[in-house]
Amino acid sequence: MNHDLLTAIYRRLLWLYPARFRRDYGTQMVQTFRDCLRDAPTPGATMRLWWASLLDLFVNAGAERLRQMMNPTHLVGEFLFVAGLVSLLLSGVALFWTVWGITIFLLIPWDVGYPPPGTFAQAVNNFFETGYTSLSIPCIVILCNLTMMIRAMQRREHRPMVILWRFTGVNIVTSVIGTLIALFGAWIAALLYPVYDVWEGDQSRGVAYVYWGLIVTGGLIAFHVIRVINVLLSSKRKKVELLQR
Amino acid sequence: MKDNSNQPPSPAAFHILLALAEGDLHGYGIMQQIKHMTDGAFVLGPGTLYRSLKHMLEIGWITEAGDRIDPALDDERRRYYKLTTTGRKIAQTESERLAALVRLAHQRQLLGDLS
Repeated sequence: MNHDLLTAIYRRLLWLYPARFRRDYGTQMVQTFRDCLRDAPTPGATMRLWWASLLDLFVNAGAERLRQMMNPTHLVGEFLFVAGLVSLLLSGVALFWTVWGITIFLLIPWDVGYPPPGTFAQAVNNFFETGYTSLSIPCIVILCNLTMMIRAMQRREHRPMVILWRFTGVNIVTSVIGTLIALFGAWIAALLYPVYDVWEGDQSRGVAYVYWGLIVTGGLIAFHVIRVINVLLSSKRKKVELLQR
Repeated sequence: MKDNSNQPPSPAAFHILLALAEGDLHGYGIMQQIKHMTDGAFVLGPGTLYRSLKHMLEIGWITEAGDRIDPALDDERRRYYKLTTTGRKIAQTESERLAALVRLAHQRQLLGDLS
């Protein structure tokens, strides 16, 4: 099999290792793997080497990740990272809440009436009316503050672009997951309370929810933007410090 | 981090210490040396090798000896590693421990003639 192809795959698989390890040893590992390939006498030996190296890579990448996770400093980081994910999940819910509210209040004419009891549409209304999202507001604020700490801890381990990429990726993923969870919760609520309807005769409260949703979502977006700028600036400062040394 | 610099080395680490006792080597050089020392009975993959090297660097058994070209291979620069005084002491202690075990095994007629 083509050595360049095997080397390229091997290089890609090094992403299984923690970032720091990859940065410190990735190039050397690829170099060594290429040396091993070059010295394999037959195609059969090459394939044996390939499978042995894959197994070796998977086992050691797992062990290295586990080792990193068991590091007390990293445990705190992991906890904060989970907290950050939860906060982003909640921001996904808040975003969906706002979009749904705008759809309900701006796009659907009021004379059409309310969603019929027991339907999915009513379920979503019920979900956002029962106060879960209101409770999420302080949680989002607190947890978002924790994410700042996570990033501060991780600044040493990742390059700014990696942080930015992860930040964007995590945001997208958690927004989607948050939306799906919100819909699932609403569906369960619809099954549990098929005739529950809090909208009747109370349009002003619904409008207020939309404004709250807009404020929270806008605040979260602003917060994330500030956070990314902060991370980028800190990385730049750190680079300058290193150069000065 | 837990200080385990005085713990006995793992089989991989001990083989690396033995390989480096010959002189400074780069990663692939260490692999080749181990293969040669053990007649191919002990083979390290790059993953095990570099994870062991990282650990040994952290606990001070080895140190980096700079990047340079290995004329026997190609024009690429390679990072070399060398034993520290602590690493050499660890290798000696472990060798003596294993030698004592071999002598014991011999006394109990579990081994053939050692000469």
